[in-house]
Order: sequence, then structure tokens, then C-alpha cells
Amino acid sequence: MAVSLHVSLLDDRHTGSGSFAAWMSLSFGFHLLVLVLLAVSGSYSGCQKRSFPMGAISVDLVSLPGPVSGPSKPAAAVSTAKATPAPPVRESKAPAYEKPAVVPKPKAVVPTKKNTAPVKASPRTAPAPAPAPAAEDTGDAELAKTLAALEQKVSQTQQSVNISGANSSQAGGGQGGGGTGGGGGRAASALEIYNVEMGFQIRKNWVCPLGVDENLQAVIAIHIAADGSLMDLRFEKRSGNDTYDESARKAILKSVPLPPLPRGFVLHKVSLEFTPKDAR
Amino acid sequence: MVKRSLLVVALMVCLPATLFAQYDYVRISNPFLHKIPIAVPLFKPISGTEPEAMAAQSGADLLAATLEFTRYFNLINRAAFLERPDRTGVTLADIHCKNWRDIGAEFLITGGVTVAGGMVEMELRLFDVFKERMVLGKKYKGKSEDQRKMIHRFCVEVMEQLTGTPGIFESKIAFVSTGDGSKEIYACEFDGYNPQRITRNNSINLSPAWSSDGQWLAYTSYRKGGPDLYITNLTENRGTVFSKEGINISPSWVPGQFMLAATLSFEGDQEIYLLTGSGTVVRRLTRSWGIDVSPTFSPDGKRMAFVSGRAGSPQIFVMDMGSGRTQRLTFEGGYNTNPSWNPVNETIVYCAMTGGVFNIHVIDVKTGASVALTADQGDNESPSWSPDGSLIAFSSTREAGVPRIYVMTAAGTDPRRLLILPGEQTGPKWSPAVAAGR
Repeated sequence: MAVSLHVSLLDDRHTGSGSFAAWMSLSFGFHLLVLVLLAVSGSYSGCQKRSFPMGAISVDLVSLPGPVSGPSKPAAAVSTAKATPAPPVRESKAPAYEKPAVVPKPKAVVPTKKNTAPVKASPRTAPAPAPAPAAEDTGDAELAKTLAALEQKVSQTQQSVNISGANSSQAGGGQGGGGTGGGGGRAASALEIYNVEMGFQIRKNWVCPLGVDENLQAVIAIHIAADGSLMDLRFEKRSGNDTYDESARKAILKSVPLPPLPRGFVLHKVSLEFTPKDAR
Repeated sequence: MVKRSLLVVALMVCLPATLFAQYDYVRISNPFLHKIPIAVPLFKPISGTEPEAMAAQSGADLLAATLEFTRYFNLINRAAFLERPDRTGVTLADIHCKNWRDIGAEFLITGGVTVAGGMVEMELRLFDVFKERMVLGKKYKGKSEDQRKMIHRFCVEVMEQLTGTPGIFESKIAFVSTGDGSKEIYACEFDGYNPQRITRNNSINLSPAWSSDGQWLAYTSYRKGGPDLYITNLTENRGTVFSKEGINISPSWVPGQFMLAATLSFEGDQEIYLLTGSGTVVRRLTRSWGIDVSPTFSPDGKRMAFVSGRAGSPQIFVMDMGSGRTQRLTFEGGYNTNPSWNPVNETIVYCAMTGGVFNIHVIDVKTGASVALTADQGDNESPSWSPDGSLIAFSSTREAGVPRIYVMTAAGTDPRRLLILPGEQTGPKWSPAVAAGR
């Protein structure tokens, strides 16, 4: 339901005229209201099952400072509702990074972004206001472009975790540090900690034959359901060594069910890279 | 301002859609499990006769032991099995893969045995219990005493299938034993089975070396007084004795050629020479003051590692066979000997003395980084690689101070005594993948 609402808003924007912004604000407010109502009624977590794309929730909703500790469902839901305004702002800086030429401020941040990406993605490390100027300068026509860039950027900005012996604990710890964006950092932690836990479980089951080339690399994409069951598994990259690829695939299959997803997540998509060489 | 709010809203709207495509990236490395979990239940006696039951038991036990010897496999304890293929059936239709997955197995091998008229027939099947399909199925027929050969043949197939290499099942290990009162050369199968005496001269025989086709064995013998080089064919009764003035010791065959390097002193100093298999000196390889011994060749035969005293203490050097350019390889410790070049890569195992104790080390030829593979286990000497480079045979005094042959993995793990014989066993040398026998 929520998704369909979003979509209609988007359509309005394209077809609307001068009063479009007013309509949007109204709609936005209404949307918020609906979310709050849903949350308060306690039915929110139930209805979100399929309607909210996983990634959105992972970044936006749980990112609020309050929710993580909140034990009761309604409380968490409320926080998510409140959170909604914040995440877009944060996320919007991602496009700003994308277009350093247009936005002077983010320029300085660009290297930081790039540096953090390979280690641990935390798309929300910069201050909120950054995106706004970009929009002002570029106008409506530019908006679509920005959005496209954002989309691309977001898809590139993956959370990355290393699971290799002692490293796994470092990875978990590192995430806390990575979450410099206040509330946003907490959201990252929930999934990143999950990734460490899940990765370790798979590593425990991974039988990598002795003597294989240390530099082999296989990447398997999986979808994990809320209860930790495996929804999908496919090779993104094969190593060229069938035995090795199979060992990686079996490591995943043997680890099922994986740990249940953190509360509020219904689907989690992960690319698992298997490499014998210690990434440290 | 309008546009700003517009952007905020629009971004919020599109965010879920964009994030929907997001994949987190988790890197899993440095695995700590290396042995493939495999289940080898008892074979099924097809008609249920007594000889069949015995062959089924011995066949399954031998198969399990053979696979376990490679250190590639973790044999799952039969007590944990949830079903009995020896009773219920050995084909894919008869087994429940989940029962095997549940006990941690990745693969399952079943066997059916028929014994009739002194002939044994074995059907062996390898199943991938995750894919729920048979990946290998073979039928062997032979005399009862050939059961071991049949099992080894199947092991070769299994290794090929699961690791891409044929394994070591047709290789042998030569060694020196004093069990009969003198130092004689023996050879046994890769797993220590059936040790056979090669030399019978009641003298001192040392340093066995296999030719790369596994047909020839060169060794040093004091049979005629001084240390001479004997090059003998293992299947036919022929060979050569190389007996120049001085010492003639430490032979090592050039991979893929009927040539060998050995230390000779007929020109005064102990230098390494290249000889033909028929005992003709081709050329002198080393030219330096001091002893040069224990040659060993890289897999392509283009480089030779050896021990030289030119630095004042015994150290390992590597020579390029084409240019003759020589570089020192070991710098740690004052006594590094017995090099053996891995048949498949750029590592060399050797024996290093530190604190008055000998231990096995492995060194990367490219980087010069070395690691000790043994420690606090008596003296460990004379390392020799298995033909697939996965195992190392060596002699050790770890049990009661008596030198015996042990085998461990390339990483120094899983050391096990190879065989029990009277006397002392030293100087093991692992043959190429296929070795001739007597």
C-alpha cells in the first residue's frame, strides 16, 4: 500500500503545474499522518511485509535513534514514522556526491565517500542540507537526472563486510565507527552486524579444499527472508574452479536457515564473495 | 523553496525503489575448514554370502582409510549415519540425501560387492548429497587380491572429480631402514602398505631418488667400499653403477628427462654434476669452493636448488640451469639442508637446525618467506613432497627417539606415522604419481 502511495505522488509531480509543490506538501503531510496512525495502531509491522522494499526500510526507518532500543512493536513503528523525513535528506547527499561539479560543498566529501565505500558503506555520513542547493540550481529538468544518479549511486553504495577470522569481530566493531551520521549510523549497524553474523555462520560451514589457488574468487548473490530462510541463490561470478564454486555454494546451503533478519526487515539481499586469501 | 521541498519529497518517494536493488557485500575469506565431509558406509553384499560380507567390510574400510590418508576428506563416523545403504540399497533411488546432509556430509560413497568364482565385482558410486545426484559411478572386476587396486582406482576418480588432481594413490615412498641390520633401501605404497626391500647388499645404502617416470631409482651405496651411485630399473633387472674416484652421492632426477644431478668429487672439490641416466657426465653445474650437495629441481626443471657451504655454513641456493646464475635462498639459521622442491609450485621444504634441533621448514622461492612446519617433536629431517604437493613425508624421532617415517600436510598439520617396521627408518623420498614396483 505504501508503495502505491509513493508512486502516485511521483506521478503527480510530473503532471502537476504551479501548485504542484503545495499538493506535494499536503500529500506528504497526509502520508506522514497515515504512517503515524498505522504505527500507533500497531498494525504497521504487519502490513509492511511485502509492500516495503527491503532496502528502504533498512536505511530509512530503522535509522531513527529511538527505534532500535524500543522493545514494543508500536514504539518501533512510531519511530519509523518519525524517521521518514530524515532519511531522504540524508540519502539526498548521495546524489550530491555524485555530482561534485554542481555542488561545491560535497566535493570535499567525495574522497571520503569513495574511501569508505569499499570498506563499509554508510551512505549517510554527511550533513543534511547538502542536497538542497543542488536542486535549486538544477531545476526540475535536472531533478530527474539527479534522481537517476541517486539511484545509480545507491545501488553502488553497498554495505561491505569482511568475514575472515579475527577480522569478523573487527568488522562488527568497525561498523559502529562507520556510522558517523548519528541516527543513520544505527540503522547501518543493524544490518551490518547482521551481515557479520550471517557471514560468520557461512564461513563456519565453508569447506575450502586444501591447496586451492589463494586468489580464487566466487561471488554468490542471495536473498534472505525475515526468518532467515533462503529465497534465492545465484552466481554473480564464478571462479573458474568448479570444486571451489561448489564449496562456496554448499557453505551457504549448509548455513540455512541463516539468522533471522533484524526486526522490521522482510528481505535482505547480499552478495557473498568467497576468497581463500585473508582479506586483511 | 518550492523546488527544494519538491526534491525532498521526490527523493523520499523514489528511495524505496532505488534501495530495492541494493545488495550488501559480504566478503568471506580465510576459511578454517579444509576437509571435505564425506560418508563411506559399509558396502552392500549383493547376494549376502559370507565372502561378500567380508569383502564389503574390507572394501569400505580401505576406501575410507585411503581417502582419509589424503587429508582432503573428513570421514564421518559411521555411528552417526541415519540410514544403512548396505541394507537398504546403494543407488540414488535407495538413499535419502537429506539423511546424509543432516549429519554434515557433502558427499556419499556407496558400494555393492559381488563375489563369485574367486572374482570380486564392485560397483562404487559417489553422490553429491546437496545436488542429490550421482557424480561418479564405476564398476570394477578382478581377483580377490586385487581389491586394493580397485579401491585405489576409484579413489583416483574421486580425487579427480572433487579436487581436479588424480592424487597419490599409485605413488610409492622409498626410504632407508636398518631393520635387517644394515642400511637398506625399501619402498612401500603411499600409505605405508606393503614395504618391500629394494637393496640387498648388507652395506650402507642411502639417498633414494625416483626418476620422473617412476621406473628408475638412483641411490648411493657403499657396497664396493666408497660411496658410489647406483641407477637401477625397478621392473627390469638392469642398471648402472657410477663409481668415479672420490664420493658419488645425493642423486636427484631432472623432471621429465632421463638425467640426474649428483655430487661428485673426482675433480677434487665436491661439486654438483649433470649425468645421464646411463652414467655419463654431461657437465659440471656448480663451481665454488666448499661442498655443494642435495640438488632438487623445480617442476619445469629450469632451476635447481641445492645446499652449499660457500657462505661458511650450509645454506640453500637456487641456480638457473640456463644461465648458471645462483642466488642464496635461506638466510635464517646457520644450518639449512635437505631441500625438496614442491612438484607443483614455488615452495621448497628443507631441514633447518635451530637450538640444536632439526625441524622441517618451508620457504617460498619467490619471496624468501619461510615457516616452520614442525616444532618440539624431536628431530625432523629429510622432507619429501608427495607428487601432488599436498603432503610431506619426513623422518622424525618424535616417538621414543627412534627415527621413523611420518607424513603431514603441506601446512604441517595432521602428522601421522607412515608404517611400523623394526629398526630405524630415515630419508624418505616420495615417487612421482605412478611408480613401478617390484
